[in-house]
Amino acid sequence: MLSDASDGRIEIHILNAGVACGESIVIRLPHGGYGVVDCYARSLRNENTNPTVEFLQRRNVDTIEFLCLTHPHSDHYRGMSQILRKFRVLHFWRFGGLSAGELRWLAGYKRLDAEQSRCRGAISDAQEFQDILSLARKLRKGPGGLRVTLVQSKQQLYPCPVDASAACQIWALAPCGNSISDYQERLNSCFSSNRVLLKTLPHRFHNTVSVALLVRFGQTCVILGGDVEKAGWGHVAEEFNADALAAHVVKVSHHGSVNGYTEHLWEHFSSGRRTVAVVTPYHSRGLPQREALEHIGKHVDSILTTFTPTEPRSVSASRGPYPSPLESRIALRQLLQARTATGDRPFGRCTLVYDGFGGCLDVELKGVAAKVLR
Amino acid sequence: MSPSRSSVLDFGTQSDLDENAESGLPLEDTTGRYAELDRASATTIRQSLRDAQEVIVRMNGNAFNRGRLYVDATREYRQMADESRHNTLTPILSGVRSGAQYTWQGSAEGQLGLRIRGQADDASLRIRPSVQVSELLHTIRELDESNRRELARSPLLRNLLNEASETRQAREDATVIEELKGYVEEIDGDTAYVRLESPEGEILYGQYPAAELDANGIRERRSFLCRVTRTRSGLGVQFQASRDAVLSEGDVERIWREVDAALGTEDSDDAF
Repeated sequence: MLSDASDGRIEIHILNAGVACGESIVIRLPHGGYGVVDCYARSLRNENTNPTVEFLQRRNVDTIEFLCLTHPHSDHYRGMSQILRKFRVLHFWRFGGLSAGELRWLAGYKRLDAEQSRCRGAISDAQEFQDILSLARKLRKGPGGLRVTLVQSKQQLYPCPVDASAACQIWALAPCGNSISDYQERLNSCFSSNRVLLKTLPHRFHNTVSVALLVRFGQTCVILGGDVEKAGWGHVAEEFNADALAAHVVKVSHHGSVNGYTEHLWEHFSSGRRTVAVVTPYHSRGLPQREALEHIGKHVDSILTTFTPTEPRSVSASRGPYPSPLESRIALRQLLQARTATGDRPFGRCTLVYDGFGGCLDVELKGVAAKVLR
Repeated sequence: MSPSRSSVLDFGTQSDLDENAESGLPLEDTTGRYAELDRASATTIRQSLRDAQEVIVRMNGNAFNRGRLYVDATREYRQMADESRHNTLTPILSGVRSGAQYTWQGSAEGQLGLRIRGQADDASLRIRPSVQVSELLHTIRELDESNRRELARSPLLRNLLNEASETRQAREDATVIEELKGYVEEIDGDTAYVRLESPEGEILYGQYPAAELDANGIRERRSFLCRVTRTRSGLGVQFQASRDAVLSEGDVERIWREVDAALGTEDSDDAF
């Protein structure tokens, strides 16, 4: 039985900023409210490059019920400060486990590592991470201020306050406690007692604490996998029974990496459902991987992508607008399988609309989004 | 002209020819200026550079996987290096890897300080003065027979000869077609995913064996220089690690001040 306040539909909008990376998700809840999971903008200086801001403004949204930061990778948080500045956000869900003190260590870690690397993009991303946390800290002050929740698995996050009988519920599938304590320990070991950064962690290690969400509306089930990898899904499988994971929509975790699933995970996801999988590519990291798409394709009804992959331009055409030496491109293609990146393109959007009975009401693909399977 | 052992030592340091040369120069506890920066863990090697053409720092063992290696020149050396447009000695190696070798080319007199943070008991630093292969051979020919045989057996000398020859050959033959700025986006198992940017702003993505980049001191989320060259044998691509920025104590303190100002100092779980 769906709530009286519900209009009987839930909308999942998975957005792309017109580049071959980044992930932004907007959920239009059945009662008309909005939630946001992660965010990626092409530029931190220009809000017009932020597909989440553009989408919400076009719908005249001024209040966001929840904003979720799944994990501390910039392809999931760049531009989130623009959302915190632009909209009234009621709840901020962030990857769990780290206390305020430990989160400060993480912010310092990112700043120091970026400064050492001299990479301008890394420096601005580290600053953005700090800005998001700083804004969250400021906004929580005063009555009616932002409420911050540290997400851990098996936790009901929505509605707030928790209502176990609500028609629309959101639960955390990941991260689990073990992953969090391991992350805390490894992060702390990077510093000397006087806060000098002694070593860095593998970039992917931050996926250890990635949040994965389970959105339920009546009988409809949506899984937003964040960047959870194999070990994380292993914990999920231990903590949730297979029936709980059967989903109509799955935002594929870790951009379609073969590390983004366990052997039987997709059997659980697709159990008895016509599941739709949505991939958010990360081309510079070689994602999605063909092997992963083939595996997922065996289990789902269709695979959508928020960004249309383009074929590498031929060597002879690689000069493009650039006077690049042809010989050089030949060498780089041979050695590195190098391909020219696409320039900025229109935003992409995969929209899936479901009723509360598992029925798909609409699928819309806009801009650079496309169907890659079936 | 009667050859002497000292004439040999002019082109190779004592450590090059020592039986213990594999372990390089001994690392000494420092009382110098580097120790002021990090007294607990700094170690300094100082070695005169007389007519040096190449300075080779070679790392062996695993200790450096947990530490960083800083190389700095004394002011005098840097000035001279700058004057001669060999400013490549300015400072850092970071994420030094086992078995990797870093080479600077320059020609000056001065001293090189090698400051190592972390465990450093198996580093070596070798100074290779200006050597022409032909001169070397000439020198060897001038040695008496017993010394010549002794030197010929030395693997280090053989390597020196071979490397010098190969390096010179490579320098003479290679024509640089293009230089691109590289950045290692991520290392996933054996594969490094890299981004290259041409001087005109063209962006390329590619992948490369992570171990080979690692051997060149190129790590995840770090920059490097990608040089495409044309040689007699065809096209080649070379990678060279870019040095990390040196964060002074003041820099580190400033960053932490900014972080603390932005995020406060309270430690309660629900602060933000």
